[in-house]
Amino acid sequence: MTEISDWRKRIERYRFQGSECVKCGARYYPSRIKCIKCGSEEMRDVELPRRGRVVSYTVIYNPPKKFSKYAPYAVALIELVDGTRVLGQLTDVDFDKIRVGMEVEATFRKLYEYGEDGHIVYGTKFRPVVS
Amino acid sequence: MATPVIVGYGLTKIGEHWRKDLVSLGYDAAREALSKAKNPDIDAIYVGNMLGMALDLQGNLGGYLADELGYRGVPALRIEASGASGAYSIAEAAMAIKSGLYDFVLAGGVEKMSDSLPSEVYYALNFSEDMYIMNSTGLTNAGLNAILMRLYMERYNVAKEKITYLAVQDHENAQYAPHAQFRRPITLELAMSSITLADPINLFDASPIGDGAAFVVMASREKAEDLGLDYVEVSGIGISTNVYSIVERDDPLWFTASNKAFSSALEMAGASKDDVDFLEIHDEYTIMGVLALESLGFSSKGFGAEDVWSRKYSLKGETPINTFGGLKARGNPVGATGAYQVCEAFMQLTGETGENKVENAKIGVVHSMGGVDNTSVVLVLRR
Repeated sequence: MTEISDWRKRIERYRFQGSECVKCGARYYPSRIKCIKCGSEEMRDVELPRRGRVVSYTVIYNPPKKFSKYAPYAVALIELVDGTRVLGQLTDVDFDKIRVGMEVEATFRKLYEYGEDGHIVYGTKFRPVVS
Repeated sequence: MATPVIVGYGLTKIGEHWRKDLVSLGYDAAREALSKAKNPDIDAIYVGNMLGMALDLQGNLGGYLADELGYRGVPALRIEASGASGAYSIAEAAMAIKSGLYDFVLAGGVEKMSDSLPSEVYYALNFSEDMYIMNSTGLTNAGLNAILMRLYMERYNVAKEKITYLAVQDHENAQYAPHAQFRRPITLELAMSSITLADPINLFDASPIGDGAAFVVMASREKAEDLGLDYVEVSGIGISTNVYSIVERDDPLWFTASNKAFSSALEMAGASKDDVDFLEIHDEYTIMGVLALESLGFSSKGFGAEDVWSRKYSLKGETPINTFGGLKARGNPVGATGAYQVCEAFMQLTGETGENKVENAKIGVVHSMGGVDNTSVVLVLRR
């Protein structure tokens, strides 16, 4: 990934924006060019619902180089309230408190920084919903 | 149409080959395969390789290896489909023979991983998945498989021991395989207590980093018979792709590409699942092996781990799998792995097995995946 590809996807990451098929309503994050459910190419940007539940998760102890200073960190498969499934890091949570079925919400965070100039990439992570 | 057959194979021991580079490793395995096939005039060369451009900073491997081998002028190509590269290059060779265009093709794979730092290797292995997702989440292949493993354990209420047991069986089978990376048995206690890579996946659920190369010489059956070469038929070829990201699949625990590739390969071979005497499956992670057994239809959904645990797939079991240790213990030099599987199936079918023999084996199946079922290749080999 280069700074330019980070820039290209910035709006999607900052706003938690995916794509929605105009014909069948299927939603994707990251966004897709063509709907894989119905084959339509008529897609529009959509801001995804910010709440969902953890379907499964892991805690990464053996990260790729770019993420080594952040390890360990948790990554979850999350089903949003509209049924869209996404992958994202969990934040503000004790690892031993993470449960399948736990309610989480999207939150704007720093994802990582890299390179000699400390280029920072921001985006969406998920934190437990405090009731 | 010509019938593609394998007339020779060559492989290196998998491990840390400090004195060998990418091309010299490939040379050793290819040379051995060519000698066993009595050095025929090769019409084309296919080299499976995933990480050459990322770790060794070497591209255009086809031409490079062809020149080293002394086959100047012969068409040669590097084939990349992540972990399925080796099997894919052999599938392409089989199709080229079938088409009638070529009589003899050298195909296989090579990978050199140990020159690079493990963190660099793990990063490069991510390339088999959507790198935008991997980069924006910090996921690794182990992490992706860990998410699948937890989903499996939760959905089917399966204890992790029963999944990890596949690693124990792999090590058991590898102890008599001279080419295997790890030739020592392990206990379940050791496998369960090793360091965590991505919870719940630990070191022994994961295939290791290693260097290796494996090649076969393929020919048309007619040419093989003319020259009096012993052969094994590649009677079925199936290749399929899946929705790239696991989150967009209807069921992340079902490998549709593997399932489809297997059905197509069986259909081409005119065989059924019950005819299969043994399987070489892609267990890059223990959970991947379990899900492959279910997706190929050998275990019912949710029972793959249970069947592994009850030794249905051991060397003496109903359908032996990974008869030389699989990806976990034989090793997983990614771009070469599928080619190792094909060589091992050839060894089973011709009886060059020693202690690892599957009795009366007539049909063997090789299952190889690039990423988590992103690209799957299945070959049916028949004696």
